[in-house]
Amino acid sequence: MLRHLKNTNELILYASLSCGAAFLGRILPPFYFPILFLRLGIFIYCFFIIVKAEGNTELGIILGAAIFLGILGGYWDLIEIHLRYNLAQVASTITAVLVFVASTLVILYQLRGNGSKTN
Amino acid sequence: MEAKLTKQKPLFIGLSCLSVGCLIGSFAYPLQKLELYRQTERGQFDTIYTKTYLITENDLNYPYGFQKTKARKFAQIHVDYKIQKILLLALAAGCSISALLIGNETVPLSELESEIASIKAQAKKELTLKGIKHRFALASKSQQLLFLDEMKALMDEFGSSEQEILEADEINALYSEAEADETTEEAQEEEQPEDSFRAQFPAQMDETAWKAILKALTSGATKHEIIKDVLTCSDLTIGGAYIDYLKGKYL
Repeated sequence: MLRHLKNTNELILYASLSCGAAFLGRILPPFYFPILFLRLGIFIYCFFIIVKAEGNTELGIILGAAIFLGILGGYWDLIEIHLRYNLAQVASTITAVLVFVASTLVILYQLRGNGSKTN
Repeated sequence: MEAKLTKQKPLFIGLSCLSVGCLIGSFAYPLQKLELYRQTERGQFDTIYTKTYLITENDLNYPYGFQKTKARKFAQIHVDYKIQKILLLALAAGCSISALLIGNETVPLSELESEIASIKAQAKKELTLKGIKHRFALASKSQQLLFLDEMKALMDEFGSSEQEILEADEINALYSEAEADETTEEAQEEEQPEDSFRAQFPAQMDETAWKAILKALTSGATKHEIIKDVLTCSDLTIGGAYIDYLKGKYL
Protein backbone atom coordinates (compact mmCIF):
# COMPACT_ATOMS: atom_id res chain seq x y z
CA MET A 1 0.00 0.00 0.00
CA LEU A 2 2.75 2.42 0.94
CA ARG A 3 4.58 1.46 -2.23
CA HIS A 4 1.60 2.69 -4.25
CA LEU A 5 1.63 5.97 -2.37
CA LYS A 6 5.30 6.32 -3.25
CA ASN A 7 4.43 5.85 -6.93
CA THR A 8 1.63 8.40 -6.57
CA ASN A 9 4.07 10.93 -5.14
CA GLU A 10 6.37 10.51 -8.12
CA LEU A 11 3.42 10.96 -10.44
CA ILE A 12 2.27 14.12 -8.64
CA LEU A 13 5.75 15.61 -8.79
CA TYR A 14 6.11 15.11 -12.55
CA ALA A 15 2.51 16.14 -13.16
CA SER A 16 2.96 19.41 -11.26
CA LEU A 17 6.03 20.18 -13.36
CA SER A 18 4.08 19.46 -16.53
CA CYS A 19 1.13 21.58 -15.35
CA GLY A 20 3.48 24.45 -14.54
CA ALA A 21 4.89 24.21 -18.06
CA ALA A 22 1.34 24.40 -19.46
CA PHE A 23 0.59 27.51 -17.38
CA LEU A 24 3.83 29.05 -18.63
CA GLY A 25 2.84 28.31 -22.23
CA ARG A 26 -0.49 30.07 -21.70
CA ILE A 27 0.81 33.11 -19.82
CA LEU A 28 3.77 33.64 -22.15
CA PRO A 29 2.62 32.73 -25.67
CA PRO A 30 6.13 32.70 -27.19
CA PHE A 31 6.84 29.63 -25.03
CA TYR A 32 3.78 27.75 -26.26
CA PHE A 33 5.31 25.82 -29.17
CA PRO A 34 8.69 25.04 -27.54
CA ILE A 35 6.90 23.60 -24.53
CA LEU A 36 4.55 21.63 -26.78
CA PHE A 37 7.42 20.05 -28.74
CA LEU A 38 9.39 19.35 -25.57
CA ARG A 39 6.35 17.60 -24.13
CA LEU A 40 5.83 15.56 -27.31
CA GLY A 41 9.53 14.66 -27.36
CA ILE A 42 9.47 13.45 -23.76
CA PHE A 43 6.33 11.44 -24.48
CA ILE A 44 7.86 9.72 -27.52
CA TYR A 45 11.17 9.12 -25.68
CA CYS A 46 9.20 7.76 -22.76
CA PHE A 47 7.35 5.23 -24.90
CA PHE A 48 10.02 4.04 -27.29
CA ILE A 49 13.17 4.13 -25.22
CA ILE A 50 12.10 3.75 -21.60
CA VAL A 51 9.28 1.27 -22.12
CA LYS A 52 10.36 -0.65 -25.24
CA ALA A 53 14.16 -0.52 -25.23
CA GLU A 54 14.95 -0.41 -21.52
CA GLY A 55 11.88 -2.35 -20.43
CA ASN A 56 11.21 -0.06 -17.47
CA THR A 57 7.41 0.01 -17.85
CA GLU A 58 6.84 1.43 -14.38
CA LEU A 59 8.79 4.63 -15.00
CA GLY A 60 7.38 4.89 -18.53
CA ILE A 61 3.80 4.71 -17.34
CA ILE A 62 4.42 7.21 -14.54
CA LEU A 63 6.05 9.71 -16.91
CA GLY A 64 3.38 9.28 -19.60
CA ALA A 65 0.53 9.63 -17.12
CA ALA A 66 2.22 12.67 -15.56
CA ILE A 67 2.52 14.41 -18.93
CA PHE A 68 -1.12 13.63 -19.70
CA LEU A 69 -2.26 14.93 -16.30
CA GLY A 70 -0.22 18.07 -16.81
CA ILE A 71 -1.84 18.79 -20.17
CA LEU A 72 -5.27 18.09 -18.77
CA GLY A 73 -4.82 20.26 -15.70
CA GLY A 74 -2.98 23.04 -17.43
CA TYR A 75 -5.83 23.65 -19.88
CA TRP A 76 -8.74 22.59 -17.67
CA ASP A 77 -10.25 26.05 -17.15
CA LEU A 78 -9.82 26.89 -20.83
CA ILE A 79 -11.59 23.64 -21.79
CA GLU A 80 -14.41 24.55 -19.42
CA ILE A 81 -14.88 27.96 -21.06
CA HIS A 82 -14.79 26.50 -24.57
CA LEU A 83 -17.33 23.83 -23.66
CA ARG A 84 -19.62 26.42 -22.13
CA TYR A 85 -19.48 29.11 -24.82
CA ASN A 86 -18.11 27.47 -27.96
CA LEU A 87 -19.50 23.94 -27.89
CA ALA A 88 -20.30 23.72 -31.62
CA GLN A 89 -16.73 24.30 -32.73
CA VAL A 90 -15.35 21.96 -30.05
CA ALA A 91 -17.71 19.18 -31.13
CA SER A 92 -16.90 19.61 -34.82
CA THR A 93 -13.13 19.62 -34.12
CA ILE A 94 -13.37 16.46 -32.01
CA THR A 95 -15.46 14.72 -34.68
CA ALA A 96 -13.01 15.67 -37.43
CA VAL A 97 -10.03 14.44 -35.40
CA LEU A 98 -11.76 11.15 -34.55
CA VAL A 99 -12.72 10.54 -38.18
CA PHE A 100 -9.16 11.26 -39.31
CA VAL A 101 -7.63 8.96 -36.70
CA ALA A 102 -10.12 6.17 -37.44
CA SER A 103 -9.53 6.35 -41.19
CA THR A 104 -5.75 6.34 -40.70
CA LEU A 105 -5.99 3.27 -38.46
CA VAL A 106 -8.25 1.48 -40.95
CA ILE A 107 -5.88 2.23 -43.82
CA LEU A 108 -2.87 1.06 -41.81
CA TYR A 109 -4.71 -2.09 -40.80
CA GLN A 110 -5.60 -2.85 -44.41
CA LEU A 111 -2.04 -2.20 -45.55
CA ARG A 112 -0.66 -4.57 -42.93
CA GLY A 113 -2.94 -7.27 -44.30
CA ASN A 114 -5.60 -7.76 -41.63
CA GLY A 115 -3.21 -8.87 -38.93
CA SER A 116 -1.74 -12.31 -39.58
CA LYS A 117 -3.94 -13.88 -42.17
CA THR A 118 -2.97 -17.37 -43.26
CA ASN A 119 -4.22 -18.55 -46.66
CA MET B 1 13.49 2.18 14.58
CA GLU B 2 9.92 1.14 15.21
CA ALA B 3 9.15 4.41 16.97
CA LYS B 4 10.48 6.32 13.96
CA LEU B 5 8.29 4.16 11.73
CA THR B 6 5.14 4.81 13.73
CA LYS B 7 5.84 8.56 13.65
CA GLN B 8 6.72 8.78 9.99
CA LYS B 9 4.01 6.59 8.48
CA PRO B 10 1.05 8.96 9.07
CA LEU B 11 3.26 11.90 8.03
CA PHE B 12 4.08 10.13 4.78
CA ILE B 13 0.43 9.34 4.07
CA GLY B 14 -0.64 12.86 4.99
CA LEU B 15 1.94 14.50 2.73
CA SER B 16 0.96 12.27 -0.20
CA CYS B 17 -2.74 13.10 0.17
CA LEU B 18 -1.94 16.81 0.52
CA SER B 19 0.12 16.81 -2.66
CA VAL B 20 -2.70 15.09 -4.60
CA GLY B 21 -5.23 17.59 -3.26
CA CYS B 22 -3.05 20.59 -4.08
CA LEU B 23 -2.46 19.42 -7.65
CA ILE B 24 -6.15 18.85 -8.35
CA GLY B 25 -6.98 22.11 -6.61
CA SER B 26 -4.67 23.98 -8.97
CA PHE B 27 -6.75 22.84 -11.93
CA ALA B 28 -9.80 24.83 -10.88
CA TYR B 29 -10.53 28.53 -11.42
CA PRO B 30 -9.41 30.52 -14.43
CA LEU B 31 -5.75 31.30 -14.94
CA GLN B 32 -6.00 34.53 -16.94
CA LYS B 33 -8.39 37.36 -17.76
CA LEU B 34 -10.17 36.87 -21.05
CA GLU B 35 -12.99 38.18 -23.22
CA LEU B 36 -15.43 36.32 -25.44
CA TYR B 37 -16.74 37.92 -28.65
CA ARG B 38 -19.42 36.81 -31.10
CA GLN B 39 -19.24 37.90 -34.73
CA THR B 40 -21.78 37.19 -37.44
CA GLU B 41 -20.28 36.32 -40.79
CA ARG B 42 -21.62 35.68 -44.24
CA GLY B 43 -20.50 32.47 -45.86
CA GLN B 44 -20.04 31.37 -49.50
CA PHE B 45 -23.66 30.59 -50.37
CA ASP B 46 -25.19 33.53 -48.45
CA THR B 47 -25.29 31.50 -45.26
CA ILE B 48 -25.05 33.40 -42.01
CA TYR B 49 -23.22 31.92 -39.05
CA THR B 50 -21.76 33.27 -35.83
CA LYS B 51 -18.14 32.75 -34.91
CA THR B 52 -16.89 32.87 -31.30
CA TYR B 53 -13.54 34.44 -30.49
CA LEU B 54 -11.66 34.05 -27.25
CA ILE B 55 -9.13 36.76 -26.54
CA THR B 56 -6.93 36.44 -23.46
CA GLU B 57 -4.93 39.20 -21.81
CA ASN B 58 -1.68 37.55 -22.87
CA ASP B 59 -2.49 37.25 -26.59
CA LEU B 60 0.04 39.07 -28.73
CA ASN B 61 -2.50 39.91 -31.44
CA TYR B 62 -6.17 39.63 -32.32
CA PRO B 63 -7.15 36.28 -33.82
CA TYR B 64 -7.44 35.93 -37.59
CA GLY B 65 -10.77 37.12 -38.96
CA PHE B 66 -11.61 39.20 -35.92
CA GLN B 67 -13.09 42.63 -36.69
CA LYS B 68 -13.37 44.87 -33.68
CA THR B 69 -16.22 46.91 -35.24
CA LYS B 70 -18.40 43.90 -36.06
CA ALA B 71 -17.71 41.71 -33.00
CA ARG B 72 -19.84 41.97 -29.88
CA LYS B 73 -18.47 41.04 -26.46
CA PHE B 74 -20.83 38.75 -24.60
CA ALA B 75 -18.72 37.30 -21.76
CA GLN B 76 -15.66 38.26 -19.78
CA ILE B 77 -13.53 36.87 -16.99
CA HIS B 78 -12.16 39.79 -15.06
CA VAL B 79 -10.75 38.01 -12.00
CA ASP B 80 -7.94 35.58 -12.45
CA TYR B 81 -6.24 33.28 -9.96
CA LYS B 82 -2.71 33.10 -11.36
CA ILE B 83 -0.84 33.46 -8.11
CA GLN B 84 -3.05 31.03 -6.21
CA LYS B 85 -2.80 28.32 -8.85
CA ILE B 86 0.97 28.59 -9.19
CA LEU B 87 1.36 28.53 -5.41
CA LEU B 88 -0.81 25.42 -5.18
CA LEU B 89 1.31 23.75 -7.86
CA ALA B 90 4.50 24.63 -5.99
CA LEU B 91 2.99 23.29 -2.76
CA ALA B 92 2.03 20.04 -4.45
CA ALA B 93 5.56 19.62 -5.81
CA GLY B 94 7.10 20.40 -2.41
CA CYS B 95 4.84 18.00 -0.53
CA SER B 96 5.53 15.17 -2.97
CA ILE B 97 9.31 15.75 -2.79
CA SER B 98 9.29 15.66 1.02
CA ALA B 99 7.01 12.61 1.01
CA LEU B 100 9.39 10.83 -1.34
CA LEU B 101 12.36 11.66 0.88
CA ILE B 102 10.54 10.28 3.93
CA GLY B 103 9.19 7.32 1.99
CA ASN B 104 12.65 6.15 0.97
CA GLU B 105 13.26 5.19 4.58
CA THR B 106 9.75 4.31 5.70
CA VAL B 107 8.41 2.13 2.91
CA PRO B 108 11.03 -0.67 2.95
CA LEU B 109 10.88 -0.87 6.76
CA SER B 110 7.12 -1.06 6.99
CA GLU B 111 6.84 -3.68 4.34
CA LEU B 112 9.65 -5.74 5.84
CA GLU B 113 7.29 -8.05 7.71
CA SER B 114 5.13 -8.74 4.69
CA GLU B 115 8.27 -9.45 2.62
CA ILE B 116 9.49 -11.93 5.24
CA ALA B 117 6.08 -13.64 5.31
CA SER B 118 6.00 -13.96 1.53
CA ILE B 119 9.53 -15.43 1.47
CA LYS B 120 8.51 -17.96 4.15
CA ALA B 121 5.44 -19.01 2.18
CA GLN B 122 7.50 -19.46 -0.99
CA ALA B 123 10.06 -21.55 0.89
CA LYS B 124 7.30 -23.74 2.27
CA LYS B 125 5.92 -24.34 -1.23
CA GLU B 126 9.35 -25.27 -2.56
CA LEU B 127 9.90 -27.66 0.34
CA THR B 128 6.66 -29.55 -0.30
CA LEU B 129 7.52 -29.76 -4.01
CA LYS B 130 10.97 -31.17 -3.25
CA GLY B 131 9.40 -33.69 -0.84
CA ILE B 132 7.04 -34.94 -3.56
CA LYS B 133 9.90 -35.26 -6.07
CA HIS B 134 11.98 -37.18 -3.53
CA ARG B 135 9.15 -39.62 -2.82
CA PHE B 136 8.60 -40.27 -6.54
CA ALA B 137 12.31 -40.88 -7.06
CA LEU B 138 12.38 -43.35 -4.18
CA ALA B 139 9.35 -45.20 -5.56
CA SER B 140 10.86 -45.56 -9.04
CA LYS B 141 14.19 -46.73 -7.66
CA SER B 142 12.53 -49.34 -5.46
CA GLN B 143 10.54 -50.55 -8.46
CA GLN B 144 13.76 -50.96 -10.45
CA LEU B 145 15.34 -53.00 -7.65
CA LEU B 146 12.27 -55.25 -7.36
CA PHE B 147 12.41 -55.89 -11.11
CA LEU B 148 16.11 -56.79 -10.93
CA ASP B 149 15.45 -59.23 -8.08
CA GLU B 150 12.70 -60.93 -10.09
CA MET B 151 14.93 -61.07 -13.16
CA LYS B 152 17.70 -62.71 -11.16
CA ALA B 153 15.27 -65.34 -9.91
CA LEU B 154 14.08 -66.09 -13.47
CA MET B 155 17.66 -66.38 -14.77
CA ASP B 156 18.54 -68.83 -12.01
CA GLU B 157 15.47 -70.90 -12.85
CA PHE B 158 15.71 -71.05 -16.65
CA GLY B 159 19.43 -70.47 -17.16
CA SER B 160 21.03 -68.09 -19.57
CA SER B 161 20.82 -68.53 -23.36
CA GLU B 162 24.50 -67.93 -24.04
CA GLN B 163 25.19 -71.58 -24.83
CA GLU B 164 22.43 -71.69 -27.44
CA ILE B 165 23.70 -68.48 -29.04
CA LEU B 166 27.23 -69.93 -29.35
CA GLU B 167 25.91 -73.11 -31.03
CA ALA B 168 23.81 -71.02 -33.44
CA ASP B 169 26.86 -68.92 -34.33
CA GLU B 170 28.93 -72.01 -35.13
CA ILE B 171 26.25 -73.45 -37.42
CA ASN B 172 25.92 -70.06 -39.17
CA ALA B 173 29.67 -69.92 -39.69
CA LEU B 174 29.72 -73.45 -41.20
CA TYR B 175 26.96 -72.56 -43.65
CA SER B 176 28.58 -69.30 -44.70
CA GLU B 177 31.88 -71.13 -45.37
CA ALA B 178 30.15 -73.67 -47.60
CA GLU B 179 28.49 -70.88 -49.62
CA ALA B 180 31.76 -69.02 -50.03
CA ASP B 181 33.45 -72.18 -51.40
CA GLU B 182 30.68 -72.63 -53.97
CA THR B 183 30.88 -69.04 -55.19
CA THR B 184 34.68 -69.13 -55.53
CA GLU B 185 34.39 -72.33 -57.64
CA GLU B 186 31.81 -70.67 -59.89
CA ALA B 187 33.97 -67.60 -60.20
CA GLN B 188 36.97 -69.71 -61.21
CA GLU B 189 34.92 -71.51 -63.90
CA GLU B 190 33.74 -68.24 -65.36
CA GLU B 191 37.14 -66.65 -65.39
CA GLN B 192 38.67 -69.07 -67.95
CA PRO B 193 36.79 -68.03 -71.13
CA GLU B 194 36.97 -64.39 -70.09
CA ASP B 195 40.76 -64.25 -70.32
CA SER B 196 40.57 -63.31 -73.96
CA PHE B 197 39.23 -59.78 -73.36
CA ARG B 198 40.05 -59.35 -69.66
CA ALA B 199 43.53 -58.11 -70.54
CA GLN B 200 42.05 -55.15 -72.36
CA PHE B 201 38.84 -54.69 -70.37
CA PRO B 202 39.32 -55.21 -66.62
CA ALA B 203 36.37 -56.14 -64.39
CA GLN B 204 36.20 -52.67 -62.80
CA MET B 205 35.06 -51.03 -66.02
CA ASP B 206 32.23 -53.52 -66.66
CA GLU B 207 29.50 -51.23 -65.29
CA THR B 208 30.65 -48.01 -66.95
CA ALA B 209 31.23 -49.79 -70.24
CA TRP B 210 27.76 -51.35 -70.09
CA LYS B 211 26.13 -47.92 -69.46
CA ALA B 212 27.97 -46.42 -72.43
CA ILE B 213 27.00 -49.39 -74.63
CA LEU B 214 23.34 -49.07 -73.58
CA LYS B 215 23.38 -45.38 -74.46
CA ALA B 216 24.85 -46.11 -77.86
CA LEU B 217 22.34 -48.92 -78.47
CA THR B 218 19.39 -46.65 -77.65
CA SER B 219 20.75 -43.99 -80.04
CA GLY B 220 20.78 -46.69 -82.73
CA ALA B 221 24.45 -47.62 -83.20
CA THR B 222 25.53 -50.96 -84.70
CA LYS B 223 27.80 -53.46 -82.98
CA HIS B 224 30.69 -52.52 -85.25
CA GLU B 225 30.29 -48.81 -84.38
CA ILE B 226 30.06 -49.59 -80.65
CA ILE B 227 33.31 -51.58 -80.74
CA LYS B 228 35.06 -48.83 -82.70
CA ASP B 229 33.72 -45.71 -80.92
CA VAL B 230 32.65 -46.73 -77.40
CA LEU B 231 35.17 -49.49 -76.60
CA THR B 232 37.86 -48.10 -78.97
CA CYS B 233 39.02 -51.63 -79.66
CA SER B 234 40.78 -52.51 -82.88
CA ASP B 235 40.15 -56.25 -82.59
CA LEU B 236 36.50 -56.97 -83.45
CA THR B 237 36.44 -60.50 -81.96
CA ILE B 238 37.63 -59.37 -78.54
CA GLY B 239 35.20 -56.41 -78.54
CA GLY B 240 32.32 -58.66 -79.66
CA ALA B 241 33.11 -61.25 -76.98
CA TYR B 242 33.16 -58.49 -74.34
CA ILE B 243 29.81 -57.12 -75.48
CA ASP B 244 28.29 -60.61 -75.42
CA TYR B 245 29.68 -61.19 -71.92
CA LEU B 246 28.20 -57.91 -70.67
CA LYS B 247 24.85 -58.73 -72.26
CA GLY B 248 24.84 -62.07 -70.50
CA LYS B 249 25.78 -60.43 -67.22
CA TYR B 250 23.30 -57.52 -67.16
CA LEU B 251 20.36 -58.64 -69.23
